[in-house]
Amino acid sequence: MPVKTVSSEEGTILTISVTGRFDITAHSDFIQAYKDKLGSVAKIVVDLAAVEYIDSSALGMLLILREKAGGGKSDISLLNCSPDVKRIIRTVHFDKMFHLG
Amino acid sequence: MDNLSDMAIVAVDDDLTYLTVIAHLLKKNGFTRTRCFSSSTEAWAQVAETPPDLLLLDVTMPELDGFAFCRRVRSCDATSHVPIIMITSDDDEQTLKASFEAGAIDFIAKPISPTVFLTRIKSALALKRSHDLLKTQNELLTKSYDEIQILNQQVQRDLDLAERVFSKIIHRENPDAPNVRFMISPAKNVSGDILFASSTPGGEQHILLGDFTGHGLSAAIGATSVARVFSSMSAKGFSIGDIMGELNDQLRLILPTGLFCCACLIALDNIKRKAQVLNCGLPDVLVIGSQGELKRRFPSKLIPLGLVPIDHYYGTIEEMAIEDGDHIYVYSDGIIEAINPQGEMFGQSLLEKTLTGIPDANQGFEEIQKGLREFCVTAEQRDDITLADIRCDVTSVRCPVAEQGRITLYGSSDWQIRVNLSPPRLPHNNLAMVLYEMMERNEPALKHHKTNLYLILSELYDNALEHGLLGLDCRLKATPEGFESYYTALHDRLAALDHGWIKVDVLFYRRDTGRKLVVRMEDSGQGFDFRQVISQPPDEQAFSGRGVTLVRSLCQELVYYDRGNMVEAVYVWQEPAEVEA
Repeated sequence: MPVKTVSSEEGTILTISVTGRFDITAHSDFIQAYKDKLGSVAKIVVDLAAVEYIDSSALGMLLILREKAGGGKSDISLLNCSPDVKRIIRTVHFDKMFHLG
Repeated sequence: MDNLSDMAIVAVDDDLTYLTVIAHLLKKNGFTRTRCFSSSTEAWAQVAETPPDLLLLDVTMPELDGFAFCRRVRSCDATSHVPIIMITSDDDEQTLKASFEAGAIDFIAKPISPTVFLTRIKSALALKRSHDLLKTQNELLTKSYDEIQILNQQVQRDLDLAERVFSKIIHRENPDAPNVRFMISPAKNVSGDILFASSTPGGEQHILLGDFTGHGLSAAIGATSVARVFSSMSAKGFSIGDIMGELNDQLRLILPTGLFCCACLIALDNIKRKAQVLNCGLPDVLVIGSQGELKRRFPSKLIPLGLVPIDHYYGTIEEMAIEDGDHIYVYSDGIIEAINPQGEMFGQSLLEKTLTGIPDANQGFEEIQKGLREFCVTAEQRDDITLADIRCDVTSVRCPVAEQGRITLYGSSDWQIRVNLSPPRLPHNNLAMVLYEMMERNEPALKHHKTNLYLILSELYDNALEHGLLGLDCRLKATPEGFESYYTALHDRLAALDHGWIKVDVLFYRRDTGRKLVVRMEDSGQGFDFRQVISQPPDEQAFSGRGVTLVRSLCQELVYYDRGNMVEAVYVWQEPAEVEA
């Protein structure tokens, strides 16, 4: 399973971990990971530590997650990005919409 | 005079005695198609139904009298041309005048004199017959004139089309060869001669001169195919032997028996300073040194293209070392066979004399044009004349120019990977990764650039597949729901994909100044308006449209070609040890 979801005990933090290729092949898994779980969530963490590659469709999926989580009012962190992934995210100015860590 | 007895006559008279006399007279004189009516209204119904060749009308009749009948015949389209002779006992001025005004052509007085009657009838019938004949001939003439006009317009349209197709090819392929001067002087409005220049990825220059038998449409059809094969193969770096082989195969398929193409392919390598010539049916290619000396002659070695299958051309390619300032002249036979007003030919020897007998070798092209003008004066040009003057010159090596044509790179690549995919090997689930692994096997140091290269390969491949081959519009992805339906549509169309292709070329260059990787991806799709897309500022909130931005940010150069169905990404870096990802 390339995408895993863990909710915190209080149910306010949702952590999504992606493994391997983060591209369109992860699409349905990624959607399943947060579907019906965003209601009480205050903060979302996407853990990209195990991501080998990321492409533009993955960026689109992150944006959709952001929109579903409230757009400008959402609080989403992209954690453990490799230097390459970080650079790609900065290239498209996603660091303005997501917390990079 | 023609036999008039088969012509149809209708006689109308309420006086049965006269009617019987007329019927008898006509029958006695051989007229077999006579109808007689004592009732004028009944007669009119019959006449309108089947118009006769001649009408004989009594003037005084009950119901419909002779004049009224006459006017009715004249005013009806079907009968307006039927001649009418009035028959009456009242041969006064008044009746005569009224008869002619009503549309009668003649007048016979009662009592009837058989001789006068028959003479008048025969002359009226003869007139009718020649009138009919004239009418038929006129109709035929008008019809065939219209047909000729239509045919003529058709031919003219075809010629215009051929010319447009032709000039499009010529103009598209020729602009980027500053060292090639040429004249193409067609004998008719569409030439049967073609001249193309192109650059290979290895920095060679390819020049093709072809001379089709015939002009016009047939040549234009051949020329389109030749242009496509030549420019695409040359741009991919195929040798002139390979190109000539493919041209021969293509033309054998296309050209009808009796049509063929004399052709010469020249590969000019200004860096290695050598020229290769493959001459199939054109006059001797001449190489003139900077001192005006004839250095080499390349006669035709093989039969023209489009005639017989030929396995390969390799043994036939001739090669020579070239120097700066050498000129290679290649031309069609129209130049040798150009005639003057006395009917003499310009000839090979005069051509060579003109080229070698001048102090400045750079003036050869002008001298030939001048020589031809002075020789031919007013004589009509019988054949297409095409001449190309290729100057050997290091400075003519083309530099890469964005969006202007095929790229030329300095020198040859160190290695190259080419993948051509079409169904069922398309869609390929993991093309980017497979390609990357092939590349890394060739060049282990690439592992420091794995993420970047994978991204470049996969974005370009996804675009070629999704937008190029499958025709999906990325604007669909504007909303989260659209994003979903986009991928549903993608899934469906992938399953139905049964034609199209994607070609990928990866070229690697190892140079002292650094490393360079070129990824070229071409698809069979419709392309897109890349100028418009690229000039738009990126929408940071949009769910899509980021792929090209990303690839562009990683590459030194990202250039779209043609209609947007070919893209070339140039990725450069320094020594691997100096770069830590």
